[in-house]
Amino acid sequence: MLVLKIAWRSLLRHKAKSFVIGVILFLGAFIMTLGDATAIGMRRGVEENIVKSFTGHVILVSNEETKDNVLFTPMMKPLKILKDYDKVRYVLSRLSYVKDFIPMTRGGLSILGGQDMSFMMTFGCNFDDFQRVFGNPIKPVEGRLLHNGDHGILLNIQGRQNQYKSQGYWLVPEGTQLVTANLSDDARKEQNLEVRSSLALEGFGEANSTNKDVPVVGVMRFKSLNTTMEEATIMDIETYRELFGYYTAQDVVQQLPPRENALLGAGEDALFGQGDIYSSSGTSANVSDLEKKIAAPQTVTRKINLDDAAYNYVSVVLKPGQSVDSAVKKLAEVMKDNDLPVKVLSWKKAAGQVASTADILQIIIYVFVILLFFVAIIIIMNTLSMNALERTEEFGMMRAVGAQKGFIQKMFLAETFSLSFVFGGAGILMGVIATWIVRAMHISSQGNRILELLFGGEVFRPTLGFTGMVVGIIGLAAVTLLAVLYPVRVARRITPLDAINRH
Amino acid sequence: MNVIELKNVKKDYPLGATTVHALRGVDLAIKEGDFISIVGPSGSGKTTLLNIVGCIDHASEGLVKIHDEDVTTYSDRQLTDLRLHTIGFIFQTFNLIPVLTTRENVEFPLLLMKEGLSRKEIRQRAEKLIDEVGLTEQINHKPYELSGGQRQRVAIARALVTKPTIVLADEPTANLDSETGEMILKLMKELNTIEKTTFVFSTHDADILKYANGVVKIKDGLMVGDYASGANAVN
Repeated sequence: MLVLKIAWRSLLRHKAKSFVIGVILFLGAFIMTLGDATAIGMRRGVEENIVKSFTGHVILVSNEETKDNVLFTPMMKPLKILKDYDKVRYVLSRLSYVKDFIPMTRGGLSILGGQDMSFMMTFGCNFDDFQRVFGNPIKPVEGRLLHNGDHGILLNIQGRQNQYKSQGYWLVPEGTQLVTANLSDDARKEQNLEVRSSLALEGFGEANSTNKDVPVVGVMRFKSLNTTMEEATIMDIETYRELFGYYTAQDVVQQLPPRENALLGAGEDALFGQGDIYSSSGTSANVSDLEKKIAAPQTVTRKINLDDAAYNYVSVVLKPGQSVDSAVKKLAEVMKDNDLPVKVLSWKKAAGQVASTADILQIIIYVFVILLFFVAIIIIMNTLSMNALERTEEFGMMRAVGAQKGFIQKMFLAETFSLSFVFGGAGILMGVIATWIVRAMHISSQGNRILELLFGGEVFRPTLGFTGMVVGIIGLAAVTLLAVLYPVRVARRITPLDAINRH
Repeated sequence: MNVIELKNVKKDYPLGATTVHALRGVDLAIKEGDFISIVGPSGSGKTTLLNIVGCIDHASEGLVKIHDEDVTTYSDRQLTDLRLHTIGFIFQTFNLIPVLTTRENVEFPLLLMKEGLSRKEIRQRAEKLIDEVGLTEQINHKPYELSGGQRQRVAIARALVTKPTIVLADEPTANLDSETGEMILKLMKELNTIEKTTFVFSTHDADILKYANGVVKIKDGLMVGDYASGANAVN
């Protein structure tokens, strides 16, 4: 009590110094709280908008992949085919910590028939499954979305503008009219705007890529982080397989044993002549050639299981509360135990640049906060040291009449921590209030990709949970302790003789 | 019985490239209940001698005994404890804790003591001493609300509150007018007589020597003449 009484009264006696230190603590705590809220909001936003809406928590690829950055590889290097997907599917469906999963393909396409050679990133999937697994992250802007069994491509609304710049024609979904409101500024100025509803595409496959006119089914946007994902297009899985020369579901049906084919009423010889051109190799069948050779529409009435053919990767969404790192380890063990040729990656590794940019931005925020702390520590340390020296007579007299060094130390700590509690606490409180206000302002990223990643979405949503508050309080306590260590040492070393000499 | 005993005490201070010999071999023995004045010109070593006796400075050489205990080997903690329980201090100016009232300043050493005095006992003892030094009306005043003489009286009360056997005062009247200075000395003498507390104070004011029953004369770090305690020594 005596220590606190003297400490608090001393703070009031030295109002100006107390105020200076208090303001520094207030600003430090305030900025730290807001910075922390930004970082947490960003992490959650990235989790919500990238992981839960597009990549999944864990990515399974072929173990032949040499690099981890498989989703957004520079130049869209083709991915290996994931073998034994049916077994992978079987294993995944039995794991308690897996919420859902979806097999997908990913590759680069060159756009043919325009002004310049240009490229496009595309993902192939069963679109209904994609929307189910990721909670409908894609919204239609023009035309319609894909459904399982459809053939065509979905363009990103911002990607379409880029495509117009390089190709010189404007794309609208088939069967729809031009929506002038959605035209880019460049396109709007064009007197004779060429409008098309399909794209001549060629896949960058490892072998037997082919070209094909692919109808534009719709123009879409991602619910969030659309600027970050502007180059991503989505197409149905069978069209993708055809463009990249993959083994298609159609191929699977056509290679059923003769007896089963007979039951289906479609004799192999009658349909295809030389059956040996359709080898079992995953990349050898050329679908365009096949289609030309098929004289009549298929009479097969059996439903084609699209999952029976080739994929590049599987996105796995974990159940809430599951650790990604732990799931990666467990999945790797499960795949190994089942002799599956699969490499297991966390979304951060698989998303490469997108994830690392988000990480870098987060690190920048933390580095800024840490730098701020160091500056605050130095200023507070200096002010407190000066304060200790100025009070040499007071401390020396206390020591002369019997106060131990520990008493001086406790008094000094009590003064500094009282300031920290009051001003730092106020800073944290103001930081929380500012977080709420900023969150309510719905500040937009305005289509800026860096801001979009910084915000973890298209709107700035700083978030401060209980953990953030605890981290803030611990951070404040750490700063206070670091700042007071040296001044306490100075104060402890003051002797009665120093006081006499000073006098 | 000697409460303070110094044998061949020397104190050197480094000053740049040279060494200042503040004390050059002082022998001194002070008995219980003495009221001793240390006199000498400025820079003669009075304050240094008091500091060494009061255990706030170390002798460079020699023996310092307080109540027959050699304190030259004591740790900082032991010396602080000795100051708290055995020695009371009255300084020239920087006497009081500025943020505490008269009562709180007097209570301060008692609150530092680990012995189990109750809050009530602490308060009663402080109030009794404050009354004895005539400051009951200023009991809740802060130091800045007190005159120089009143502050010195608070310091005396604080120095005596732990019932020390030795009270050291470094020129206690130096910053006071003669009337107040004399009053302070009378008060100290009165407490010396009643409580049998040993008082050692430095001064260069010849007028206040009449209160001392022993005088130690210091010049250039050495005692001048023989010191003898008792009223006759002053004459």
